[in-house]
Amino acid sequence: MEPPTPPGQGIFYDRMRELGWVYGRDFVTERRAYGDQLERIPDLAVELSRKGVDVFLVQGAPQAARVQQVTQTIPIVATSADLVAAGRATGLARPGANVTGVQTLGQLAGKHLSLLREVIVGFSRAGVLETPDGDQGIFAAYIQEAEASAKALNVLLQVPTVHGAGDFATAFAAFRHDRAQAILVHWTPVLVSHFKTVAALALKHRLPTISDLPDFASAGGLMTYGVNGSEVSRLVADIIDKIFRGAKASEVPIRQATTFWLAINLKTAKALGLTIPPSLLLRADQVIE
Amino acid sequence: MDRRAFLGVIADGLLAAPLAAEARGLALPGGPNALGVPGFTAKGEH
Repeated sequence: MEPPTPPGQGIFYDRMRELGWVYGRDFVTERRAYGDQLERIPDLAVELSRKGVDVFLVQGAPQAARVQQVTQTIPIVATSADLVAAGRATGLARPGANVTGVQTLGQLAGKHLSLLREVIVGFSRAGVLETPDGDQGIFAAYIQEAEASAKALNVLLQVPTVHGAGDFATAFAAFRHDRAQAILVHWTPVLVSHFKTVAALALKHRLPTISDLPDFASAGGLMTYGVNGSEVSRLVADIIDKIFRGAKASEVPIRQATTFWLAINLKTAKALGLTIPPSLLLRADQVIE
Repeated sequence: MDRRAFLGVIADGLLAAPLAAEARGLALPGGPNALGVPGFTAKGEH
């Protein structure tokens, strides 16, 4: 794993600089991490607000909600599948409260199934790995879309219940038992902490996987397909620029990310005996060999 | 008095990882909950 990018470097900071904000000179950043313990977020928000934070930047609508428990005045910029559906904003053009941000809403589950169909001959049975999502509803939205897409593609879906990381092995045994040909792995806070375990279990059970978690293919999953982080980063910077200049979060429109990222792990494909069609390889943004 | 703007980032903090820089955006790459601000460690420290 690469070391974290130092503060001040990266696409977000590049975009901020283009907008006139030089890191260290014009603005500073402090970061707090909650791992998969969302309940820690209010305390972290209190800590940062005591230090005089001007703007919060958070991942996810429920995370934004937890910061809102602490402040309904300090602007919160959130990246989320759907801030309006999650109740954090009343509309895209005028968010209405102190939360705005970038929506990453995409037809991910349908695309995941379509991509798997391109690499698995006779694809008709798929599993969906459910991971607790901290009451975000993001898994429910994903599974709803997966079910509709599976029906259209004539794929049978199985969704074993996973209450925690300890259930992953059981879930994969169930997938194997029910003859799933591939597994959809949706990004949740719990998955972030355990995606390497999931990728390893999938390989152990010889099951192709696809996830929207960016590092999943690098960790041994077969494919990653999800929102393009560089676009999200630039859009986030555009919003923070407006707020730093005095705009109210309630009046800064929510932006929509529109580009996606496809990574394919050829080592994993080879280990699973899969041939990736050249047409798919050509569309990949990243091929891991 | 420090008049620099102050951005406070709260994230899961575990996503600094080996994607191409252009995909990572910041250290936290794209996804349903994605954002990116570099410098995260697993403990969220600088």
